[in-house]
Amino acid sequence: MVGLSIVKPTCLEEALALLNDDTFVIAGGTDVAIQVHTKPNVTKLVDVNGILKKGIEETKDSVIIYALTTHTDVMESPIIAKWAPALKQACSQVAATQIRNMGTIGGNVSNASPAGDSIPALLVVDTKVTYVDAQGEKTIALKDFFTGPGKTVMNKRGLVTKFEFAKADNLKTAFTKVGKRNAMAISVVNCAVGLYLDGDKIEKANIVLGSIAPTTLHIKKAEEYLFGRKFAEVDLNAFWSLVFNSINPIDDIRSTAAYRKQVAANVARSTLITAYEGGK
Amino acid sequence: MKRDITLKINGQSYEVRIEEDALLMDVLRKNLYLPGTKKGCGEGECGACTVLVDGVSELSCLMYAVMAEGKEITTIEGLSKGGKLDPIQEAFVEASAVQCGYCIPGMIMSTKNLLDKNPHPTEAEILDGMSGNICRCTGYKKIVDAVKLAAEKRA
Repeated sequence: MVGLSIVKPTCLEEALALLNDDTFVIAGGTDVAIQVHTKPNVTKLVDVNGILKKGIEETKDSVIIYALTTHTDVMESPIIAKWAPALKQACSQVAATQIRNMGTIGGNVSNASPAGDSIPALLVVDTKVTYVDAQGEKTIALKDFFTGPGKTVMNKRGLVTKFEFAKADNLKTAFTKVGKRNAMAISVVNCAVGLYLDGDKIEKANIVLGSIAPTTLHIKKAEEYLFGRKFAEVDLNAFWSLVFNSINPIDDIRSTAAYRKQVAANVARSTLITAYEGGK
Repeated sequence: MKRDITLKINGQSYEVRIEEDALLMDVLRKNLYLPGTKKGCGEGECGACTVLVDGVSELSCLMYAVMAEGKEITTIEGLSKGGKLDPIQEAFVEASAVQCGYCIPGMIMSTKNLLDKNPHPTEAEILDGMSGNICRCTGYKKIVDAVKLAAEKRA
């Protein structure tokens, strides 16, 4: 107990009016109930469980994931398994069962941790995020959503409501997490790859690494290198070097910069191969 | 600030006056005298405080009690029926999976979550299903044996 008040707004407008620098939005609580101990300025939690939606829907052309959908919901969804297997893999590797039963995908993204596991997997399927703030509802590419560690374009004044990505028959994805152990550990590096293919030719590549920069990062030079190339003609060592030379990670409590740089290039290469050969 | 809330725990309604930001774990243990749910790390890492919320395993150390209103909470005290242990509890006793015992209520609640979803888990699925629970006495072999035995008993 740190003397917090916990309010349960009954509509979006009421919730938005409560948001400021001294409030936290709470859904599953797995991050927030810890963070409040190191943020003495936070005096109020805004419980959004009564006002946001949960669940996964398939439309003719797209998949929609509502903000309150838990990691367990994502990993058990046949729709996600079919259209975004990397996202299923990512959510399956978050923490452990109890956290996956509580934590929401809206929370994982809004928390904007550079190490958040669902984020690279959402990025490689070109996800759009919808959020509401005082100006109304906005839908933007998820890659434009993050502005720094723990920071987003919502600037603590908005609520993520849903995610949407197109169903693409020619998209193959894969995800890899490197942590100190399987359960509970926060990623030292995570990586997702998405390849839009025309036969064996790469029409478009998304190569995304987490935990190596202030935000999750598309490795643009590596993506440009793969663009239009047949997979058989990809020089995997050249690809490795492009990734290695594109990133500049830091030393922190979980790992060193040198280890991260090496292992990030390694997992980008292995995840690329997995996506092409084993992904669907 | 104090708040009056109603919690549904093990099929019974409890009215309780609590601090607004009291954690479910503390309310269970201190206000409602249900001490089977254990406080371990208090940071969501060890699983000792695991309870079922609407049938799935969650951590009562990361849940504010006011947010548990309207949900069905099951604690270790709610598993035995009419003085008879749940088959999972029997399995933990028979497999001698208990050393100091502090982690065991959480282990049993995680086992229930696992077997309710997946009645016949492989060893790898057991290890994954139990990976949110830490035992600091010894190894996990007898705990895994207990989960396997529990699956057989429930079949």
